[in-house]
Amino acid sequence: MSERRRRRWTAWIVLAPFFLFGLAFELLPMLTLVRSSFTTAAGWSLGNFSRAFTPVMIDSFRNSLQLSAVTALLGVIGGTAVAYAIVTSRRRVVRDTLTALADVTANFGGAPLAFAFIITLGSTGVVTLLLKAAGISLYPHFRIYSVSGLAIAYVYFQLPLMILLIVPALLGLKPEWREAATNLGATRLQYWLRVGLPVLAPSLLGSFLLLFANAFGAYATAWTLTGPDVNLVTVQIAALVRGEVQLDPALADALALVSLGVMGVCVVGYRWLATRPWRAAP
Amino acid sequence: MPYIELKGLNKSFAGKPAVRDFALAMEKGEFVSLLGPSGCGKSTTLRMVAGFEEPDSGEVWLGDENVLISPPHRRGMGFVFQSYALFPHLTAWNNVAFGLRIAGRPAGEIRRRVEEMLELVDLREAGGQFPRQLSGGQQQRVALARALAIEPRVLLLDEPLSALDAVVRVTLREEIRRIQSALGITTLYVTHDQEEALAISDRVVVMRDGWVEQVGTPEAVYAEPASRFVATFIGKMNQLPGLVEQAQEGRVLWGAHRLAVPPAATAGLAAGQAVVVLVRPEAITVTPATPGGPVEPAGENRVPASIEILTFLGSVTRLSLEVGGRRLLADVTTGDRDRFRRGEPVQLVFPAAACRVLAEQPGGGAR
Repeated sequence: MSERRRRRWTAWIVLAPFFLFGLAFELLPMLTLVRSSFTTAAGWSLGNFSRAFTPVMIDSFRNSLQLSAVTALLGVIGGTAVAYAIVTSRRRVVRDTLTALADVTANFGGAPLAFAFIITLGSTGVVTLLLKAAGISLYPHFRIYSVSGLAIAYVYFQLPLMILLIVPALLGLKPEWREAATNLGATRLQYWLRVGLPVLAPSLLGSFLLLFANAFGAYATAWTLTGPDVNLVTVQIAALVRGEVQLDPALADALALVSLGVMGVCVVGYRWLATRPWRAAP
Repeated sequence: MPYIELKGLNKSFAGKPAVRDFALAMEKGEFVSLLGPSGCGKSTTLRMVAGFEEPDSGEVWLGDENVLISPPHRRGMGFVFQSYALFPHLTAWNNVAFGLRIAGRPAGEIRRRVEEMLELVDLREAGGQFPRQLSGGQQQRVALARALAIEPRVLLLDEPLSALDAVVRVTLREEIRRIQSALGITTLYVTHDQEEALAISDRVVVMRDGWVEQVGTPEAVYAEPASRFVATFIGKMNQLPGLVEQAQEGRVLWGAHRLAVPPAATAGLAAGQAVVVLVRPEAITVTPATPGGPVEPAGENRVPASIEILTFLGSVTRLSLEVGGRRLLADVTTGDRDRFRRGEPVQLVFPAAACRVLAEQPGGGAR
């Protein structure tokens, strides 16, 4: 066996566990999902999808889309502002600390995050009680167990994820572009409007799509914090699989497939934007 | 009154001086190059003029206006960057139009001016292309057109050719000079390439460690270097350390050799003063050795040597020569190369007038 052929085989052998993992936990479940969602007692059918568009289900899609869009937008705006502060910070220790913090908090989600919000902003949460002692009553005007509370919790992981996504793009903005724009008469605002933001646009839009998909697929945080009170697609899918109101895995699969389509559009859009030639990259 | 005058500019970074007491006056339409090795302060000086760096002290006068109090975009300076700094999301046309649009010029004027600038840099056909679709040389032409489009009072270029390959560099430097001459625009140019600086400048400012070492025409800087640093930085220079023997007659002892130098060069020096005699390789005539040894100098110097290495450099061949344990360089035309062989003895002849003498400073430097 030639050296080149041997190396190729070695590479395939090393990669085999990854491919097996992907096959077992990505591809096969997805194929099962597709088959199940297109199958009814009568055989192949679109029946599950027609049942997926009842008013309750449409409402869950509307809520999920709105929640995802709002939290993605807040994440993009807040995350970009913080990331800009990080990359323009003169102190390296500040930059490294904030980036590490973003790395940790971007991965802090699900039930632990929900509990963290309950003990801080819940009806008997630490912050709620401190504010009450200071004469400011959050409740009943605000509830962490509502859709607005959920939005706050989502922003908690959306914002640091945005920081991680946009820092490389901000570092890719060459200082010479600003100097060139300034030399050509542009003010700071004109530089951002005519150079900075247009160059960053693909990264900003791409990051928005990723954040949108991230929120759209979130389940544990929503369920732990609000239970069935907020009607989201992921909550509906879980309810149908667990059979709390009705056991209907086929309908759950149809909903999951539609969700997969939404997230697929986001990922394809992100990839397309990521390859735009003028995208700022370090 | 000079068109632009830089007075006593100083700049330090983290306590380390980058530019020290820089002064320069330029006439309208003049092309001056700041030349020096990396870290000598030439780019910092240019950036202070442009307004990208704030000097610790000093003044920059443009006519009767001290422009240091103006922000960069009000100084009327066009700046060309080493990295081109073209906006990647705009076509070449729109890059050139950028400054005009910011200035709120009418659309018709913008169109006319951009076409004119692209024509000037010979890129009329490339207006619709994005920077990534252009070669390095084309991108730098667009950057030049963009800087000129706003009709700046002074053009500043920061090592504009250093990212380009050798052939493009030579072509483009001639283009820059042609355009500068055609427009008559006062230009301050930064480079570390001495050949480039000598080729295109009216005057050259040689810098080292933030200090100005010498200001002069390319011919003067080359022929009469003010310091040992300038002598070695600008072209090749033989350095012959010696002692003044007879100051009035222009005699210097170099090892066992007695050299004739211009009497004026040693006139102010005392006998025994340590000096360095500088001779360009092209000033030395190499002839096959003749019996009888060196002749007492009488307006010219004759030194026996042997050839160590012959290096082909195109039209000339550079000979590395050994003279009593010291090394010298001499250039001969490549047509004469066959007359010389490695290891053969030769005689070096160079006139006294070709020698420049710098007195050794106590610290070891020579001025």
